[in-house]
Amino acid sequence: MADSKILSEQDKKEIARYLGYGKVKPDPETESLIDIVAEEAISAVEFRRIYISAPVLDCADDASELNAADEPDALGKLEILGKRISSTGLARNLTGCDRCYIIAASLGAECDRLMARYASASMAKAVVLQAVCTQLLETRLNELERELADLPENSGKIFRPRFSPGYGDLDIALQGWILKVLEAPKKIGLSLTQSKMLTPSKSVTAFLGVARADGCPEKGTVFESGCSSCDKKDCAMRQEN
Amino acid sequence: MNFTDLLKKRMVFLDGAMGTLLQEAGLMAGENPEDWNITKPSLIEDIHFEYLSAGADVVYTNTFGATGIKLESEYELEDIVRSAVKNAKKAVTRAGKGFVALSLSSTGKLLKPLGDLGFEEAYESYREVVGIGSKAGADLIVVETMSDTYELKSAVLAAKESDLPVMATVAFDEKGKLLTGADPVAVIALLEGMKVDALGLNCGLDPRKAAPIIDEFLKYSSTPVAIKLNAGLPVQKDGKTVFDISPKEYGALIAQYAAKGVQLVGACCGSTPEHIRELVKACSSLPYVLPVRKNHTLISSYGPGLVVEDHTIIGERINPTGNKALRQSLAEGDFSYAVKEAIAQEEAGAHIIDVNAGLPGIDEKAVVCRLVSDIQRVTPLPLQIDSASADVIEAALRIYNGKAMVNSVNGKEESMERIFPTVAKYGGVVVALTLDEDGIPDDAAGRFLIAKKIVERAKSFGISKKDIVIDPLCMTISAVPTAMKETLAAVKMIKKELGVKTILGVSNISFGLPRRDIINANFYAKALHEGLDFSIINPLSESMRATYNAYRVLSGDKDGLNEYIEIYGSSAALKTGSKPAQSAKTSGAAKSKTAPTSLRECVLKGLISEAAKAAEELLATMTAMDIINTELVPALDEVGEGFEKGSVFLPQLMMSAETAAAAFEILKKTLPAAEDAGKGPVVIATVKGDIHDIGKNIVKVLLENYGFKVVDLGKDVNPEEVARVCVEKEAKLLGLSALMTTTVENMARTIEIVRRKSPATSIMVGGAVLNAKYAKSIDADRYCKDAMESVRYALEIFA
Repeated sequence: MADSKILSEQDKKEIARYLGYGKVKPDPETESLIDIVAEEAISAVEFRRIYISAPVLDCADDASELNAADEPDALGKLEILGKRISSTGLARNLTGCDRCYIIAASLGAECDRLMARYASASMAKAVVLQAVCTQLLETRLNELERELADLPENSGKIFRPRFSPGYGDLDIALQGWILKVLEAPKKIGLSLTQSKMLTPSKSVTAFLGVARADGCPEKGTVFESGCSSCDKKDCAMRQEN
Repeated sequence: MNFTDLLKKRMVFLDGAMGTLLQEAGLMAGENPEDWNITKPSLIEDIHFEYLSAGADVVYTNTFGATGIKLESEYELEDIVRSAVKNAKKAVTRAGKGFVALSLSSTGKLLKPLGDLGFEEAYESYREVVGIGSKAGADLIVVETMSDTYELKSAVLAAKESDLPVMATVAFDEKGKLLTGADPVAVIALLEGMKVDALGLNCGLDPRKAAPIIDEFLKYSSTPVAIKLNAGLPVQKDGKTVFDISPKEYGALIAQYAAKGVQLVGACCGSTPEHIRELVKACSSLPYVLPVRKNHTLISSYGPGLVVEDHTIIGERINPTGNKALRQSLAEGDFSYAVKEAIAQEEAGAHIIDVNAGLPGIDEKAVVCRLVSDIQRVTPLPLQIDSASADVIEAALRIYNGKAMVNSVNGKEESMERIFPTVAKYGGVVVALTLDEDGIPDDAAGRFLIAKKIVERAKSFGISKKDIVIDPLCMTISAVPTAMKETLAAVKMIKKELGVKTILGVSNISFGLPRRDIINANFYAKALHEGLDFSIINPLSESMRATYNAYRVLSGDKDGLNEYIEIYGSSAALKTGSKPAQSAKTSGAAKSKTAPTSLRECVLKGLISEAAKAAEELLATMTAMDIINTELVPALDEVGEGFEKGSVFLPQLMMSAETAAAAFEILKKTLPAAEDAGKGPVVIATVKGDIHDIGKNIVKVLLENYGFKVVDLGKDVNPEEVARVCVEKEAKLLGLSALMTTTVENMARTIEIVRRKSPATSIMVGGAVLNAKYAKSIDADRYCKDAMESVRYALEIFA
């Protein structure tokens, strides 16, 4: 989807999945609607992202910290850029990583405007746009990962699945810290509302672990990300790894 | 000499980066640079001093993030701002020269309607800092690195509350746009309208690629232009950010721009005092020229600005006079109809949308402001604020995002005294009617004299000719046989003698006549060829569009010719007269080649364009009520059941719903008013703090399909407001949605208040994070897992 206005077959499958089709092939009317909406969305939205590379300190070895009264849970203590983060989910995801990228990305305000416009003109287009933009954001983030993978410092490294605040036990309030560290409001126009929602709405903050090639504890380890870290087991969109 | 005098005399040198130097001195990522004003005052003072020593005339205080909204610090905002100004002033004293600019930048929040920060909250936040900073002795105020015109407007308004000079600069991306879509023209329109002392760009894009944007500024701005760019692009090196343009290169690069006519130069991220030293060296021998006065009429919204060069169409349909459906919807507090009208006019080719809510019995100020906000959420077209009330104009102009058109002022002294100061404060292009205390003169010469008086009076308020558009007022031809002759003579005279633009409400000419479209189109054609600059027309009228399209071809406009061929070249578009690409966009579903025979089938397949036709055909043999009961409702039920069983999916459900709604629009025209009234009302809202409303909107569409009257309160709605409306409407049913765990608590609070104030109201809830158990725990009557279940519950309640 990078430089083309045409969706790949894989993109279309994912969009249909977000729309609740599961493995069912959408009817021709819906397929055509997806194409129309995707074309408008791709030309309207502007993907903006910012990231920094940061060392990951595993504090589990730090006995004095472990015994601290205010941090009773010994597992899942990390320190990134001076910030103590307590999350077994993220700690597991970053096992074997001495570094990670902190990423913030957004499809921008234009995406929300288009959504509002569709919502008043055609809800069919609005629900399709919702799915198209979710996929568009995902695709752009995957492209960003490939771009990072090509950097010389990452040669021979393995990326963990992206892990966002709100996944598993990783506090959603960390979004605010990420935005501040990255100066995301200034640099890409991404901010938080009072109730801690990202605006513009099609946006992501995430950690991307960079592991040593031998950093995987054992072959075949499945790292939690996205759906598998979520407690809502009855979700219609759920995908198992 | 003060700052303004200096700006008149020679090129002004601004300072370079603060943040970059603080990071080098050990500032951590995420740490507040502003705290250092208190914890390391001498370090900050030294940085200012070094910039002054390198040749800077102006140093910016270290207050980039210092607003009550953004700053999270152990120190008080007032102490930080006061210390920041003090540090800069000490440096100025030490250097024996220089000016202290109080720096304001983004609050770090997105303003409504995209985000949740109110315009007035943003304004108050800036005003607080401006108050502290000016009291502490700042010499000027700079609003810098802004990337949203709306926030920019709130900050500049606050800055203008002081007596200090105000400069404002914005951060463009590589494509020459702000993060929320404005281009240089839109930024100039806004800032010149608000009469800043200098404007321009800082931070943002690579200075090596800034030429096209700087050229735009120099082309359109009559105000001194400032540039303060980054020392190249940030490059990550060993976890550190470095910038790739050396001081010498930077000086040479900026000198090239300065030579074209820039008045203030400095540097931004990645720069050092050395950059400023080289910059001063490279620029100080350049000749200094103040900007010449430009005569472009600029109008803007949040997106790209409009330079009025060709004939400009103002869509007139958002006006309750003569639009019954709009009148009714506004009286009921429903703004969605007006928003749809705005989109339809944009798609039909309007360049500006007129917004009028002059309707007895409604709070015009509140309604116009809400319309402005709602319409600016969905269309980038500029608006014309149209009211007979100066209070309404002032309120709407204040919250408008951009530089609007204003309709209107007239030649009465009272009108000019009231309207011109408002336009001078907020900016705007104002429509002036050629009438005064003695009424409307009969002939062109009389109207010309009033126009002349208006232009002169406007000048005394600091409003230049380019921001005035004269309406020489078109009379009704059936009453005044010379109406066209005199009006068009006035248009010509005003343009030629006064050099101002003209506008007409075209359809007045045909008042009282049959087939008004014929007269309107002919008059319009004549006016266009006489050089009329703006017309207020119905852009959905085929004959007016055809007239305009023909005019473009006949006036030798090459793009007009191409578009004409594009529009009328294909037989399918013959009837519509709008661009085929545009009409394709509006029709959602794919067109099938073989037209289905029944309305039922249209609904099942979501074939919107065929449905209206099918409905009309059925009306020949059946009553509307019969069609609804035997065709529409069974089809909707079938789709709904399919959705519940999992054989029909959400997009199809919505397409069917829209198809049914389109058919219903046709049928409704033949229904007696009593049968058209609908069940309900059902009040729906997305709770306070939540800005994701797609689920609520889906529910709304389906409820309306099933004949319910829906009062949609929108998103991020206060609990008290929900309760108030439930009481006022005696609502039997309320639907609430919340998407996030962080906002579900507001749902609980809303339910609690509604229970207390409107105990007869049943409450259904929905949203991604809810379930039946949770819904019960917050005292909702029903958890609806999807939109169909909401319909079922509504049918149950109203059974």
